[in-house]
Amino acid sequence: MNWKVLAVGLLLVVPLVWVLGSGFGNDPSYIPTPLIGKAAPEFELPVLDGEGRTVRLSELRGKPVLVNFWATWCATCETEHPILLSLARSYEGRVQFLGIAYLDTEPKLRAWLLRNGGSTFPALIDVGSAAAVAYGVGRLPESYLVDGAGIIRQKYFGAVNAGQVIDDLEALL
Amino acid sequence: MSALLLFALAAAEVPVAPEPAASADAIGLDPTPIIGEPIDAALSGEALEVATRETAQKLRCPTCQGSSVAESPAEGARAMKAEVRKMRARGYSDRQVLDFFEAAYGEFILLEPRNEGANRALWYAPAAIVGVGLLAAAATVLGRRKPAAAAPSPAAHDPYLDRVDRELDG
Repeated sequence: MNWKVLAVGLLLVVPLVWVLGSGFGNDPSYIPTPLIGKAAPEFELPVLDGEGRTVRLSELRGKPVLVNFWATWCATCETEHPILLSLARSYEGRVQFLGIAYLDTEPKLRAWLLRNGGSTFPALIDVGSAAAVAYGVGRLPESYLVDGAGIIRQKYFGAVNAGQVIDDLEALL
Repeated sequence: MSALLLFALAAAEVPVAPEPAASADAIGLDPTPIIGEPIDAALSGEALEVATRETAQKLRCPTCQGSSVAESPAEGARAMKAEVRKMRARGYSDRQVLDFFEAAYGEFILLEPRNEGANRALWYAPAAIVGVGLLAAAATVLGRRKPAAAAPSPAAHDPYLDRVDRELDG
């Protein structure tokens, strides 16, 4: 056996197999965020049917805020909505939930909310998608947990897992 | 309708700013805390379009991996391109806009990774692999020529062949 050829072959093949193998099981659409531990980008967005009122993130300092990016065209958002409603009810007064509608229109949002049991927390409209860009939103739904000091503590990619959110909130409260 | 009423009541519980938002620009995010003040001149017209395209070509569309924000027809990419245009119009440089997007999405968003740290491997590995390949090819070619050039000296006899010769002669 030619040991030199075998050694060179292994040197080339093993790292390649390792690189390819390490990708198995990963969601290729997952975008890791660099925002964890950093100040949440400030936004001031209009409230759907809020008669011109806006919500500014910095005005919610003092308690955790769960910022959920969603849209009517996002099928997973429909699955996630009852979970968020339930969480918002459980943590009412202690945690602020905010929904930010991304790439959507007000009539569609109204119809969607009517169809899906309304909302117990404000739906904000991301005019120009500036907030979604600042939070690095790729595929919906995505949610960010912001602590009382305005620091991003967690990103939830896809529909939130109630158990994980509860664990994270309990750690903050 | 009751759902909307419920929703509106809940919205009223949140501290809200008194003035309604007038336009997208008025409520757009301020990138200054992340990338500082604009360092270039404000742009408009054709110059703005060229600058927008230049920067958008360097950003990856997050929902259609492999194509740039400039090329992608996806709505998300178009929203990103609009944000690029807004920033370039205000005088943020190409580098500043890329830094802003990198701060939000991570290095993933850059179609061309920065030439620093571990990324240098991406820049120099292809040249190194080509170099090693050329060396290996050269060694192989020289190795093939060597036996032909170095003909066996007359003095060097294979004892086995000598014995065969002797037996054939004898």
